[in-house]
Amino acid sequence: MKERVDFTSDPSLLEEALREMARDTPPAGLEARILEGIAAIPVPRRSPWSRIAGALQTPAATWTYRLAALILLGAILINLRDLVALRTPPATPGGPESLASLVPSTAATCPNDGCGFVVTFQFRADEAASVSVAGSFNDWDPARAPMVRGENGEWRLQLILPPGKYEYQYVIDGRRFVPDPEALERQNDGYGGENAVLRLKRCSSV
Amino acid sequence: MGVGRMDDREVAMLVARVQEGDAPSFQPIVREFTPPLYNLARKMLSGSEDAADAVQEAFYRAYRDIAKFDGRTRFFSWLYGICVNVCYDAGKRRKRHMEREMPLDEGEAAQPEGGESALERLESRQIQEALRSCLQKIPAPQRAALLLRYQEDLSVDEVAQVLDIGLSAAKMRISRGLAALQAVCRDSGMGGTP
Repeated sequence: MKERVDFTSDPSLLEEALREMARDTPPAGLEARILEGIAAIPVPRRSPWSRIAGALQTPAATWTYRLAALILLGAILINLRDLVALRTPPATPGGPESLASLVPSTAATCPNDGCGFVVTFQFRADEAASVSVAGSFNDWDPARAPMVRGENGEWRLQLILPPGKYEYQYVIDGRRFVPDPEALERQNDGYGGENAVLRLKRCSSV
Repeated sequence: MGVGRMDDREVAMLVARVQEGDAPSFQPIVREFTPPLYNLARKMLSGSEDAADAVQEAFYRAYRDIAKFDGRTRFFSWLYGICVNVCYDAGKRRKRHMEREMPLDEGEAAQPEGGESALERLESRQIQEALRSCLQKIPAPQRAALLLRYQEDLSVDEVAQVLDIGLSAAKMRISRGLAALQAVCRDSGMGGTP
């Protein structure tokens, strides 16, 4: 049998006693209980901003890595600026050659289990090489809504849009923004020009 | 520091996946850290049920707030910190409800290994129980510092991270904890260790 020593008089012996204390093992089923409880908690997600901030603050991040993150951030900001520029199209509207009609149709199908509208955009531009629709429904991105040329220089596009209020313009040859001359409502774009306004009210039975 | 079988890189990878919304990646984390967290909680609190509840609560909080973990510290430091705080809260709640000592759950603590005689085992167990009892009598922050340093074998720097205090404060807390534990043991008539 080992010799009894008074560890209360020697801190190093007390430290040793603490180290040698038996480890407690979790009761059976604790892990399962924890996992079961966690399943009821919404899945956590990290926001893009906190990811960028985290990357910049990580001690392991080298200066190159930090620089790359800053360049990426700059690129995002520039993109945002471009997006803002798209949202505020040129003030000068299209010329008199424009003839457009907008036909909201409530007789269409209701996509996504809700009421929606099949909206037909029509616009006459005989000499245009391309015409698109840019509006608040597609982040003012003309590339997302190119129109198809029909007979007699008439361009056409159908979109399914949920109820709501939208502003839009036609984009001729990718650079000229023209508000719909046939629109029932227009709204100042804040830069001296106008956007066409489309209001789609919620339908109850389609 | 020997928390478990996974290395830091594996843990960091799993944490990143959970942060991306991959919930099943949290399962290996639970499996990895339940034993050390339970050991810590069991010694921070005096009842095994309280300890299990504390570990469960710590994992819930960690999962809920995992998006806030920014990787500046090691994951286990962050998780231990949560567990220590849960134990503080549980200890305060419990203190309000009962001021008596809970008996040690029979047969729960693992027996020390080695070819000891029955008398030695009995003596060793008695000392361990007495030491547990003394630990409960020192302030919770000092108890946490001692357990992290000596039971979980963390460096002083890691103890400081877990407790979210400075390095010198951690050293002071460990030192004062030892002194307090020594005094409590002396008052309890403890004087022997194997």
